[in-house]
Amino acid sequence: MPPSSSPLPPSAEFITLVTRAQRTLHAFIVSMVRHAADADDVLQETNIVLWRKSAEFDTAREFLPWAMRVAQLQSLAHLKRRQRARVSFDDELLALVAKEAIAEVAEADARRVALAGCLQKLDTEQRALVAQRYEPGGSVNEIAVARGTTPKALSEMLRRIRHALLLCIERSMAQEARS
Amino acid sequence: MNWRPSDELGRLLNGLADGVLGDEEEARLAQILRGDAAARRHYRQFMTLHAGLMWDYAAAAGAPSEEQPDRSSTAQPRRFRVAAAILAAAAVVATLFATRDRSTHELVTLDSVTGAVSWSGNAGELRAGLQAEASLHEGSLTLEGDGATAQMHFRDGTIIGLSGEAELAFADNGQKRLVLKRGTISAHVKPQPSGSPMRIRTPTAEIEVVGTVFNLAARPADTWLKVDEGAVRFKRLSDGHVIDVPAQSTALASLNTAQHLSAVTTPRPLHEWSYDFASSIPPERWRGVWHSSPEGGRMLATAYVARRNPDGTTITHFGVSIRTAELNPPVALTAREDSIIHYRLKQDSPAPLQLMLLTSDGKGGYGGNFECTLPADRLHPDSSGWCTVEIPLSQFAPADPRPSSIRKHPTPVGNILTSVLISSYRQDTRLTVSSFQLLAPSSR
Repeated sequence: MPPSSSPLPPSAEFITLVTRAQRTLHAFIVSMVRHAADADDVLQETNIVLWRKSAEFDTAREFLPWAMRVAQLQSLAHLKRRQRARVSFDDELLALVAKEAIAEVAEADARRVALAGCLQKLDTEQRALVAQRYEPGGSVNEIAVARGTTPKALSEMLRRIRHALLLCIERSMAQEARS
Repeated sequence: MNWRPSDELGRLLNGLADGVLGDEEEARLAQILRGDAAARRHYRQFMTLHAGLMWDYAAAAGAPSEEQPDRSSTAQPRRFRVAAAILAAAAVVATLFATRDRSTHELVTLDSVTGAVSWSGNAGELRAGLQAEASLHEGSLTLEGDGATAQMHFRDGTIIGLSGEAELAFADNGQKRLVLKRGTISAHVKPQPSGSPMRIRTPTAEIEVVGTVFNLAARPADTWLKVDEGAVRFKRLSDGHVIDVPAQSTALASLNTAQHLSAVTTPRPLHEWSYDFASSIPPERWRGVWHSSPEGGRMLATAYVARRNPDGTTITHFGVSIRTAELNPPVALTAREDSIIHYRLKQDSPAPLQLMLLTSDGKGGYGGNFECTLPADRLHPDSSGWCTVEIPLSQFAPADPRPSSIRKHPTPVGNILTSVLISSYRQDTRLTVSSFQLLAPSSR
């Protein structure tokens, strides 16, 4: 028996907005829940809520801040179910992180564009390690075993690569701003 | 823009990204972020980088690497998750339109998950790569691969554990109804409402439970039941014959009605046991393929799903498993502090080996999974390529690195070994096992 008042399916424009926002929402959720697997779940839950609330969205407003607030609520609900995760990153800190992220959302796209260029500047070995670490299911422990090194040493290699990428992104964005 | 992150902040963020941060370190990170806006900005930038790499790892960084032998099977760019996420949302919306409310209620929550575990709903929804604490409504849970385990609980506290290749459908409309299509479960069933016992059906049997602790294995031609506490009504479907199986008893219902259906006292678990593939043909569902040779039989490792990625691709390992509950009659092995796992094996090329112990606690509940890596240089083959390896139990560490899991299941000591699995990870080295032994030297 179907529900008595079935919601209307979202418009094609709304679906486009949700689709385009996926990367930004994913990055935002990762900063809230901090674990990749949790972020996947919360992103799906956020999509479902956005879908349900599509009729409430005012097209005169910006989509991303609205969607990010939905993602924030979904992240907090998820963390509430995982009591342990709330001990250190409490609601107050997460609200602060979320507020500042929503205010700076315009920067997110530029950083991702810069990242693509910066990855090309890594040497082959570094790129291979990044690919191995970030393939779905890739774990530091498993890669360390396969490479005959310790997880700590491998994590340190990744730390240097991430540091280099962050510096490169800063430089690229500064250069972009100057030009 | 002269602000630079401290070494401490860099180290903590890196540990967070790699999932190796302890509770205290995470608290320290939160403390830094609370009081420093610049540190929070760096945190957001770091997490944007981390998330960006997760999302597009293959498209952006993907130079093929020889160190990833199964890369072709896993190198789907994360951008496919856009479609997956949208499709998942569409599937849920479709569910809202098409199904009754009760089927969308969350019935169970996963307490722990290892390996490839997925859920499918009755309206066609699919969630792969499930993690602990996921909530699920009516549907089927599927475990792929010998190393897979899952434990879930219903709202009334009833706990069901699954291990190895298994498929379990579950529903609850006031009466819990489960269908164990294949595999093994352990169950701690809370007292059920009067007149609504929990029912579990397998291809060959049906059981009725009002509150008890038991293990159940559904195999192609029979169903094995071991009751630890309480009593379970056990019905053989081939002829409708029903018996009550009391605590500390075991029964087997097969398709062959000529076999007497009765409950027998469960034998005590063994702490020393051996299995020689040279002279015994293993049960069909043990991982590996048995073949004979002039020197006797042996078990060759075969591929199994070690993990399933969120995009549906798989990570494949090659292994041989020992699951003594599959033997007829079944055998239970118990791990002791002085236990030693002994194998005689060979490989075509030297490679590290992974050993896994899947365990249940003394009452049949989930006891944790434990693993140990054997570096290639610890294997010393003789001139014919065979070597013996002996691994003391003390060398096994919890496979689930979460502190909460380690606190709950710090050691396999005292647990029942539901499966002992050896694999050559992703590399097919034609790992061949000729014998397995569980030793307990101090009992001699």
